[in-house]
Amino acid sequence: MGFLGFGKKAKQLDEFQALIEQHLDGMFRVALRYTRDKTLAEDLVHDTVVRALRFQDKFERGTNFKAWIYTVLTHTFIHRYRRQKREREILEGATQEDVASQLRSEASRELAAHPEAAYVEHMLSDDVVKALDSLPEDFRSVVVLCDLEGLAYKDIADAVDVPVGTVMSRLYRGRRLLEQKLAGLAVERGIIKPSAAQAEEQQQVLDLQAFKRRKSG
Amino acid sequence: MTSSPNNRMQCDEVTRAIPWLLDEELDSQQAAEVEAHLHDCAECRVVLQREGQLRLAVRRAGELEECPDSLRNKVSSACTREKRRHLAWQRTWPAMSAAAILASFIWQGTTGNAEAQDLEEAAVRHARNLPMDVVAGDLGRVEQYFDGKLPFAVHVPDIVRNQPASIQLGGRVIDLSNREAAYVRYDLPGGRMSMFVYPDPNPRFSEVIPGYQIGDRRVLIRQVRGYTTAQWHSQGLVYSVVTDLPERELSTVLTANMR
Repeated sequence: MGFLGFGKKAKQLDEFQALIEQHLDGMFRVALRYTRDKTLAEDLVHDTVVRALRFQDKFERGTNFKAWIYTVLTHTFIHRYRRQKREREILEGATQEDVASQLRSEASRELAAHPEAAYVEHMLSDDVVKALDSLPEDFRSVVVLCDLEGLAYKDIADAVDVPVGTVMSRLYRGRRLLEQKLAGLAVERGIIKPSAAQAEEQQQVLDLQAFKRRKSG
Repeated sequence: MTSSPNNRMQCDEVTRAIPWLLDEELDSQQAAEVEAHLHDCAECRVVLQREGQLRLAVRRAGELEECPDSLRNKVSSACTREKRRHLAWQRTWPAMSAAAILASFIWQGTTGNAEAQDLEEAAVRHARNLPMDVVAGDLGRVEQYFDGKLPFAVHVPDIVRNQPASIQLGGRVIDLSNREAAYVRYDLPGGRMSMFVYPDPNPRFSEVIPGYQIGDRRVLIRQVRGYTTAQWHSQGLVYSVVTDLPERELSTVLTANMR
């Protein structure tokens, strides 16, 4: 009986390892966008795997492993790495208030709704990564889980511990913000010409920066 | 199509539903309705195209990244360790009940290896300069942080007592050889020092471990991966220390502060 039990356990471990290995690329991709740092991303995935192995009995075999492992990854990130992230995000100044005010701006909404979105197709992946990484963490995590890994809203809600409605609104706002960042980069690269609305917004950003410099200087 | 108010509203609805369609969150009937509208409405198709292109761009960017081989290897050895842990139980359990003396020799042999492996892993963790969950200027705060987070009592020895007051301490819970451990990091003027505290898997044999007598402890000092390491056992716990400091300085720190 005992040996039978161990045989079964060994087989389960093999299956579990196969599942983990199957999702390593995806886990690393997500970890990389969460941490925005290769070394930290490797540590995060490793920590996630160790935790997953320890809590593997909590995973119900036959259910959605992908959703489960991304939940473990996200929770590990939130509990172990967020402190460092917070500090960095404050330094970069990309706070939620900034995002909200950007979305309130009529000019940016107009830009986001601009029909000539074909430029996105011509953007380099490095620029897309740059735009993604500039999103505040709350928006970045849902966009990454949805658009990069194709997780269902319900599974994203479990992973980031918020209601499905919040996932949907973060996705919407995150994607609009991503569009704006991409449009900004596209103008910088000369892929599209700045629209009047964007020029006006750009001017506002510059005014604000100059104002802050004067205040701090 | 006429642009009656009714039709307009439908466009609003469809525009809102386009992300849900692309994210495969609609059931087949809802999806069919949205698609039917898109078929006839060029304006909504533009929105669809824009949303779709954004997703494709994100996915394309993601595909650039693959899990590095180094990480793949680490994951595979974590899995192997987990399997070995179960197999070890399988092997030692009958032996213990059959012949306690023989079993104790097996234990003794494996303990030495296990400890070397702990130090090896501790050195890797130290090298990586991992982020800490708590950062404080005094040991009390760090100890407080561990309170209730680990299945054993963490008493962090104050091995930096005589150092200048400006020392930063960090703490987090970490996995060491698939065991939960308290990780305390001391940022000393001469370099970093990492201490890992975890339950002694085999307290009975800790007395026979060779080592230097420092205070009332037997401390094993050796070089691992270019770092100086120290290890001792006390009250059912193992203390593994890894540091950038040279051996002589480490033993000075330990001698000055341990009793």
